[in-house]
Amino acid sequence: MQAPCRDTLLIVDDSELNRAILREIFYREYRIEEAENGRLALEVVARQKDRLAALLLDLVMPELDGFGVLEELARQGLLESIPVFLITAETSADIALQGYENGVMDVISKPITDPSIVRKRVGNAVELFRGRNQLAQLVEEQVQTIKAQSEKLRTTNASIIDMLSSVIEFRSGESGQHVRRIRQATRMLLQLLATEYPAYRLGAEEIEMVASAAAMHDIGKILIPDYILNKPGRLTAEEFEEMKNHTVYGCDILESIPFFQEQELFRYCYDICRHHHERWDGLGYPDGLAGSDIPLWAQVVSLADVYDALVSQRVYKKPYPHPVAVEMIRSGECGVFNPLLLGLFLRCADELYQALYLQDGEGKTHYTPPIGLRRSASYHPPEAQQLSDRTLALLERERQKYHWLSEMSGEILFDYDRQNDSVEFTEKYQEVFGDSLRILHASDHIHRAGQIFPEDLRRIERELQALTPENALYRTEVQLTVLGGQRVWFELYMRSLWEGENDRLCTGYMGKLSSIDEFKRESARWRQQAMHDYLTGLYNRQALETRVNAAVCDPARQPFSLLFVDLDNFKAVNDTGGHLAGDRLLREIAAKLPQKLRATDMVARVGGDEFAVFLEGMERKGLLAKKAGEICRFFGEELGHPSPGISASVGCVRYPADGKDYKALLQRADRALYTAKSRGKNQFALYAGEMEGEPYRPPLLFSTENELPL
Amino acid sequence: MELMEALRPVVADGEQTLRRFMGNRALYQKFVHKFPQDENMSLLEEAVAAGDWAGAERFAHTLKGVAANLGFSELAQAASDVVAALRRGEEGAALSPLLEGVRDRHRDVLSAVARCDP
Repeated sequence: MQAPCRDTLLIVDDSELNRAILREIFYREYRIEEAENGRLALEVVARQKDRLAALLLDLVMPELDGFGVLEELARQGLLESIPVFLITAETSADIALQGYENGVMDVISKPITDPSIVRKRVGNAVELFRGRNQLAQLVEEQVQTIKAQSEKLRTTNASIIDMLSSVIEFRSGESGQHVRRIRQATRMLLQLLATEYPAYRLGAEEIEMVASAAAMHDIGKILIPDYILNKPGRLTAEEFEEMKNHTVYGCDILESIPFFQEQELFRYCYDICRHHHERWDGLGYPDGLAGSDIPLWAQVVSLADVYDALVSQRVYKKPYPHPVAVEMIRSGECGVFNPLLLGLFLRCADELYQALYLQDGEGKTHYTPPIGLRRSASYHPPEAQQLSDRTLALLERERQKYHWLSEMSGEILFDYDRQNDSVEFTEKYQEVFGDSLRILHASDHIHRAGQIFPEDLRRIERELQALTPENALYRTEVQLTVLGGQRVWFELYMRSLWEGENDRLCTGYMGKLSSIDEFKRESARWRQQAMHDYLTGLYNRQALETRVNAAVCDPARQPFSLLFVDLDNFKAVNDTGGHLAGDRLLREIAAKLPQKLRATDMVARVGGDEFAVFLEGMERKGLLAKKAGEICRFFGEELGHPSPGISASVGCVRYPADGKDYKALLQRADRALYTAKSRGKNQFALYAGEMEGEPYRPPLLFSTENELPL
Repeated sequence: MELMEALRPVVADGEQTLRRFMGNRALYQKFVHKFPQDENMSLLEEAVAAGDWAGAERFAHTLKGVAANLGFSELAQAASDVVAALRRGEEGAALSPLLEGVRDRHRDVLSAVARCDP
């Protein structure tokens, strides 16, 4: 805003001559206004006070004299912006002094002797005042700017406060309602207090401020570690001590907000943060204040907070119904309160509950079940599920029964709420996995907790997508890491839950985790047994076929060779020494033959007195022949027993050179074996193409004439 | 007669006087010619006659101011003496000679003014 231009001189004198003389001096530089007495002078001032550069004032005038004018100017505060010159014929010092004391800038005596000096004196004063006025203007502007900034800061601080409060809410997993409810409840209680007890002199503005400050009460929790803040069970003594510190931490945070301490709001925030856990009987914390030492606003928030905690779902507890909560507060089991405030609370508790905790105001409730069966606040069940208090109580009982039944089953049961992304387990889960029973942000937790491999998790998630209301069951087996680090097999059996229009919305899953580890180990054992020969402990024919097929199917196409070993004159052993002798011999072979082979090779008993050797990586005829020879020598010479003439005939084939699959290899091995036998036994023969022409009796593929001892 | 010439007997310092008027001769002249209509002299006489000493002081004071502004120094002085005497509380006999003085000086000024060219 532009300062008005001060371009006018007001000449006040009852003598026309005096006025004319003064006008003559100043008319070139200033616009001139005249007044012939004090009253008229003030009228001019009233109209033009912002234009006046100076006032030339006579003393003796009718109606209102010079001092009268001065007095009025002083009263209006104009002497700070308009210099006044007293023009007087009086030469006495008294008049001059009185003039100065009444606020004149200077005294000019008349008759004027030197007009140019008068002009200079007035001019100087005008200049001085102009500078002073500009300065005042600047200062005023600065003050306005600072005020605006201060206001902005205040609003910013309010936003910071709101933001911090929200962060706390999210971090401790509580719904966004908590802060809003505390604020509203505080407001309601204070309004009632102001009405009932006017002596407290609570104004509307103050109430609003306290309600805003109430939002801050738990900001200190931002400095409390997660594992304490979200612990579902009882806190240990140390944990509780730390938790109590959130009062003091909150004060630290408030003190660190810049420029906040100058504001009135700060006092309320600080007190509420620090003292909302004090008790009327002095047993609260952190300072143990008692009675009315506790700031009133902190007491109110304390009460609102306790009530809210009772009727809301928390990580560590389920909500109590409203009447139960009120009774708990009344009876003093939740803390000791100011009797006066308690009385007020009891009077407005129902209204409070109605206004803040119900979705509609018709006296009926939307059932808000605990986390296990709960759906989020934003999801409204179809058709108003509005229940009376009695039904509510019945449902609560059912819920408790369900809870106890599942605990008694001793199984790991779970209930996953898709909209809340939360899951709740029975206690067995904690025993087996060492994890908390109620998990929020469950999807994220499952990914990170490391109990399930990512591939398994992905597979299960994928398979769950396929579920429908008609096809709601899911069963799978998965390995999980338990407490202690072992990997254990579990069967996961669950059912998807559906609600909403046409039941198309999957709201969660309920199911069971059973350990099938024992069972799996058993079946592994059986599979093991199926692959081995009972008598000798060697691999059996099944195992050999499996091994060969695996090698044949392996894209790496590693070569291998097979030796088929048929004992010569084994019947004789049985005949002379009985079957036991035969068994003993076979077991001796089983023990010693593998020693002739590498770890990657395999020995199998494929018939009564027939063995097969799988030689991995072997393809060169020379090496194969050498190996076959070693084996013949083993049977012919090294098997130390008194039995007559035990030896072996060996037929050798190579893969892929002599056959591309198990059946082909077997056929040709047979041929080779026959060749060895027909050449006189106790020798080996490598398969060669010419053998195809010879007649032969293939013993291996089809029935064998040797007995097969079991 | 020319203004300043005519007024010389009653104006002690013509230069100073004109300076007071910022050298504006015409302005000065205007007020000089207005002086004979100034009523303060007769008002003073009446006040004295009526015993209205407060009024007399006021009129004498005003007369003094006008005279002084216009450079009629002796008249101004005489009026000033009357003001002083009145302030001292003098009246009657003590005042007479002073009043006589004012009356004389006033007559002198009027004569001088009459001689000025209009």
